[in-house]
Amino acid sequence: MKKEKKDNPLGALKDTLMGFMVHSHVTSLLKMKTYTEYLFMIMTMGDMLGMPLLPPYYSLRLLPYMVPNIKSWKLRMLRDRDVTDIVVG
Amino acid sequence: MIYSKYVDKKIWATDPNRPTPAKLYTDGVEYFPVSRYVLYGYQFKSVAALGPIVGPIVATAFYGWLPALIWLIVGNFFIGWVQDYSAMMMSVRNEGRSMGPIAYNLMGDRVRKILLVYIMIYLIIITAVFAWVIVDTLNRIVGTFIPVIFILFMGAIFGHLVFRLKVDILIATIIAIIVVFAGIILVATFPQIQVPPVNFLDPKLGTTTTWPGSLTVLFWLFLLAIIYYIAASTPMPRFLLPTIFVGFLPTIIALILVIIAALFTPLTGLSMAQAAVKNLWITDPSVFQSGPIWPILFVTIACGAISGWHSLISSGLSSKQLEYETDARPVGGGAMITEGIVGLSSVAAVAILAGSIGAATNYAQGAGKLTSALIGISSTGMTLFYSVFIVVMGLITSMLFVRVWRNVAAELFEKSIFGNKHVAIIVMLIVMIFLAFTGSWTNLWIYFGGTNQLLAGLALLLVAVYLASQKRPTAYVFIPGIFMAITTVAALVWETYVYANFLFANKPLGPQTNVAKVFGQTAVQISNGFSAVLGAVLAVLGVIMTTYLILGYFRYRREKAKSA
Amino acid sequence: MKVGLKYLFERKPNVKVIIFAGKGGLGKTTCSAALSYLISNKLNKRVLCFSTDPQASLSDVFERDLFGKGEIPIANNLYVLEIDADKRIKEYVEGIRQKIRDMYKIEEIPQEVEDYIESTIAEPAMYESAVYDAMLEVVTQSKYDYYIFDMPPFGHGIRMIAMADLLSKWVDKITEARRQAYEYEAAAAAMKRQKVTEREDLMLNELEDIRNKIMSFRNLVVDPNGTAFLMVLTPEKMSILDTERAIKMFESLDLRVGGIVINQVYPPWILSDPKASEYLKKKVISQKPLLKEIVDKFKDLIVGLIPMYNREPKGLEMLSKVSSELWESSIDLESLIGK
Repeated sequence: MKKEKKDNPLGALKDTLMGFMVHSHVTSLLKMKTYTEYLFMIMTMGDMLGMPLLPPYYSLRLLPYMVPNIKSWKLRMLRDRDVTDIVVG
Repeated sequence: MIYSKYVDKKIWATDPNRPTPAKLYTDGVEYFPVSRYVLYGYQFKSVAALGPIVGPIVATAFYGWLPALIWLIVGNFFIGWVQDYSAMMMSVRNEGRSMGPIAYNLMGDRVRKILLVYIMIYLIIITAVFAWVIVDTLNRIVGTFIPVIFILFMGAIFGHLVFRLKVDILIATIIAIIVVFAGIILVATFPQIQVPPVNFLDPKLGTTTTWPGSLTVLFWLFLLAIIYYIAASTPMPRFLLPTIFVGFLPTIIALILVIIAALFTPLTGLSMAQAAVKNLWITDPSVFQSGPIWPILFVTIACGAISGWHSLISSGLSSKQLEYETDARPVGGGAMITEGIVGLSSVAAVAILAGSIGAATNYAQGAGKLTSALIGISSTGMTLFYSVFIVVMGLITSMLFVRVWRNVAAELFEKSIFGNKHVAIIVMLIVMIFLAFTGSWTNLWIYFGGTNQLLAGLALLLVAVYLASQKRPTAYVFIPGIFMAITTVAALVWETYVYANFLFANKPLGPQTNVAKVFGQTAVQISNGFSAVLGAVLAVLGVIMTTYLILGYFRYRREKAKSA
Repeated sequence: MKVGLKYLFERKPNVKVIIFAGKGGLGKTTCSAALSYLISNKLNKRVLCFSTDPQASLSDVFERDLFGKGEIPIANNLYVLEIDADKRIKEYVEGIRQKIRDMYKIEEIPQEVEDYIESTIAEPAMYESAVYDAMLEVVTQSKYDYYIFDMPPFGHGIRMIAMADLLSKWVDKITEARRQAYEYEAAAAAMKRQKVTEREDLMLNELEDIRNKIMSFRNLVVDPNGTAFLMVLTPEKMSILDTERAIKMFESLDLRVGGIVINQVYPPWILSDPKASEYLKKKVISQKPLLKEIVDKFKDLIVGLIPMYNREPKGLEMLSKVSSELWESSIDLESLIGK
């Protein structure tokens, strides 16, 4: 496996600037988005975790939209999370 | 450089082919591979705040610029980047886990809990210290306030433009730059709008010093509290996030400019006006500032040389997005070295000033002088620019800290009233106002440095424990870890001693005289008593944690010896 | 005193939905069929008789295979719909699968998603939800003047009614969470100068639709003017107890039971009929205290009395007999319990 392409300096500068200006915002926004989405999933697909809120007949209708999230959702439910994670946003 | 390569290859044996957590657990949110340049930018932005600027000023004021310079360079090269890098690698090798869970895995729950309490105290102290720095700058560099207001409003508008009206972010950024600089230029050109004047609520106090306990300070502190409250309680995209974005626009320019200017000093003809070395060995606690160079210097300059905060960033986010293990060195190490350079530029900025120094305002003056010599804009204009820079940096960092506090409180006190976001924020802001209003900030700064450095020491020791558990060489982190831990506990004890000394003598620290005059000596006693207790608690926690970690370290070492 | 649905219709002229609820095996299906026949025949109104019984008992009553065949005209103005809920669920779930395949252009459904689908199919609540969904569907289409439902025993449905308001509030919360998630995503995209997908809105529409379904089902069922809940009981100890319990439960949900139909009553004139067997006479006597108990307990609720027939009520002719009894009973209520 080749480690990386030769970096072009302009791209590197742009990337660094991106990292400096927006990366943390993008990440924290995505995180927030995911949390709300998980909340949403608990509300709608709660029966997956054994807490049915919406009748499963109806939660099935929402299922197609959730497909991309289910895997990471379950992954995250299994992962330990800590306050030191919150510290960084 | 050679040292870092050695550590990279020999101890961690980084391998670009070993999949990183970013690749193993990609979830597109926290875990996903990101180019090392982006990560470098991110890491630098997250670690560099007011820390690397204020610390060197205080140190230069205490001991002269030479010791500050030496510690920045030596600390950064042998301890600072080691910590940032190692914390990152440790996290990478632990599925991208953060410090807390790793500590839990290696050491059990108690260590993790102490770590959390530690972080909370840390957050309060740093916010209080920054509050003072901001207030002092707003008060003494007249005219700073209006450009800052421009930036805050521009932040809110920027959020509206980009997130609501869907204006392209580049266009919005250009608008923001124009507005932000319009604010600064406007105020710089028209002295009549440079309001409010120094100590405007306490004309009797003169115009040279900002006094704790004065109405002016209280006014500014309340203003800050309101801003922080809004930032921490409203949804992120409304205010906090765009304000940070807009605030960073002048910041990045200011940083680049001052670094270049510092490098060019030989050409611009500025020379050191401060003594290279001052009194290094103050052991009389009634001299409330300073103290013996060991341990005080090593906590005074925290960020820039080494900072525990970084280990949280390294292990919290960067480690989850590292594309190749080999990127850890440029990202973690690189960002730290860059921060060291910021610290050095800060030393340079104040070292060229004559007379007594010791406040962030001196940095504005120094950096103003440095850069004005470089680009030829009037020194007062540039001073104003750097003063805005300090305030905005302080505001941004503090807003984030208050928000982090709110989240940590929500997590820790889920069930009780302190978990409520409004209560948590208000409690924190009250403590912040109290400390900043009644305290002597240089002493608080040492507390901040102490907590921060101890965190660094603990992070290093944790890495040592981890490496011991992995049966790898540990000396390169264990020795600095022990050094940092002992140094900072000593510093905390010293500072506690200073506070206790004033407490028992029933006297105010220098800057507290005004508090004593206005509110009576009791207020000072409460403040100093609180500070003394705080210092003692921090020192004790530090000793406990260090002991735990060292014991853990030897336990793993013994296992290694046995299995060998 | 004569009883009959005639009086119920007089009291509640706006009733257009009649739901027969309660345990199976007491004659719910017969009553539904008879009432439908009555409405189509006597009132001359278009009526749909709806059942979900997997034993296809409506097919049995009408002596035709109706199960899973859609809305079938039986007689003038009389239509019958006997849904095959299992088949419906299968189709519904297959539709979901297909949607996933289409949306993501994949051949195979990811394992964890398939696991979830499988687990929901196994849920008993699925069956009921599918039935309610079908009920709602026919009522919303409003092709008929009257709807007679032969409801499966109420289990999960109770919960759904009880939680309709809560669910509605949830949907508000969920919608808010969605909106926020969308806002965050849009903000993140704006910072990276990207566009966001519009998938989000579709999802909110779905959600809104689900809420409407749940609310309209609740409203349909609890509407005291347009809907009447009828329970069928037989003069037996267990049946009385069950009915009592059901009424209590209904009340806890703000559901008013519109009436009770007593089925399988041995008419009192048997006693004076010399040709009647001893067995029948004994039956009449043993039913008497039970009927008395029924009248004591449910007096005002009694809206129908159906005599015991010596053969299973099947076919239109038999239905017409039962229906005239339902309309106005030939047996006098007092004569049943009187001396």
